[in-house]
Amino acid sequence: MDRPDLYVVARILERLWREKEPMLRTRLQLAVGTNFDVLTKYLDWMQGRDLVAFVENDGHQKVLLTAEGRDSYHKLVIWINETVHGRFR
Amino acid sequence: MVSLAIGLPSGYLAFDVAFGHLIESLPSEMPSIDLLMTVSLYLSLSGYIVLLVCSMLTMVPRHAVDGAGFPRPDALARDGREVIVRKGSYEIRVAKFSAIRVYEEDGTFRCLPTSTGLWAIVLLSLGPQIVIFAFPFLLYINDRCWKSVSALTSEKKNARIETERGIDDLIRDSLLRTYVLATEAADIRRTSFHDHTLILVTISLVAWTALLVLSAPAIVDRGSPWWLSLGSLIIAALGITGFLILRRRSRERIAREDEWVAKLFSAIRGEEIAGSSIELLLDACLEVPRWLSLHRKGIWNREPGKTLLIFILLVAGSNGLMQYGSIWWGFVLLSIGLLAIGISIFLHMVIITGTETRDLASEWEDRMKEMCSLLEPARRI
Repeated sequence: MDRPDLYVVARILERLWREKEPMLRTRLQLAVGTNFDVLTKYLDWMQGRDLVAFVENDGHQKVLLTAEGRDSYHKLVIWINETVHGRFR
Repeated sequence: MVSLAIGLPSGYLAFDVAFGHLIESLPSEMPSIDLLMTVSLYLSLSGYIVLLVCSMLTMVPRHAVDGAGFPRPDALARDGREVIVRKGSYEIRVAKFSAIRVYEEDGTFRCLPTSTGLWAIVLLSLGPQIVIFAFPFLLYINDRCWKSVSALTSEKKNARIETERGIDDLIRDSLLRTYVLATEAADIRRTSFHDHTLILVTISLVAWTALLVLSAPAIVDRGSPWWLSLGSLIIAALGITGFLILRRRSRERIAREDEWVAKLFSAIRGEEIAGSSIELLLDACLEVPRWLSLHRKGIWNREPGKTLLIFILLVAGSNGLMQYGSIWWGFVLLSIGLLAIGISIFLHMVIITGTETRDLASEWEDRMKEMCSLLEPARRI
């Protein structure tokens, strides 16, 4: 995937950030509102950038937000906050 | 006191130089009318000079504050204050007619009239005989500003020191801020529609008055009022068409802003909205430059002090030119100088506005590139 849609990435990060435990892909798919194939592509892309990690739990592969992912989400939220306050520099 | 001390003698001097010989040449058969005209001319001249000196003294200087200074615009907005953020400064409306402009570089401030206050001064300045009343009004504006300074700076002292805020707080704050921006944008759109309608009505009335003046001789000579009727009909048709076009365009714009207000309000209240808060905020970020530029757009309202100065210079300059032939040539030269200064300041304001718009667009482009780099590990900030 060359240029991911930042909106989808942000939705995935937000959903995972709110979840304390690793999350099932199907649950994440419903929460994010995208189809399974697209979600898989995004998760693979995000795993390549250390934003998410996959863990085996109860025989299912679940998704977990990494420390890098939490950090990126935090920075995105700060970026939005600064932008809406007109602090561009 | 300084304004009066400078304005009254200068007014007398200018009056003597400009109209002295005119008054002397008046027939002395009606001394009361002579005196009334002298007093009226003197009051007008002094009024303009006093107003000019007082505007310079009250609006131009920047003042420093002791202690912690003024709160940040976001903190003021959270407290329900009306704040307009500009490049390098922000303006706090402290009363109906008074505003304080705070400069972020050094924390100094200036006392200015709000746009309502400014137009009230402009209206008073339009009548030479009542221009002197603009002076106490300007003093009142200045007084309200200074009374608010201590209240605002003490708010800052009492404000809680914000430590690093959590993600939820930041999202809520961002939603509140975008909501305020969208609401203000909708209000600006509504006000702008009213302003444009007023301009349209004024132009139509001026055109009709001109038509009336042009056709009056023919009507007085018992000529046909056909031209007047046709002209009135054309002016009315153009006016109504213009109004309908304006209303249609403005409705679309207002509806767009209102839609944003409704969406953000739902998100703030935690109601079910399409997509997530973060997605809504990312969408809202794309609207931020437009919302900010709506604030910066009004060239006349952005710097009330300069607008008033331009107005005074143009009125004084054109008044002087209209007296050409009946007054001292030096006064005519002075009028040309005042007109030239007024036009130069206006052109400067136009250039600054253009530069700010270009800067905003370029800063925004950099900002969007920065957003994309947030998710790239090698370039993460």
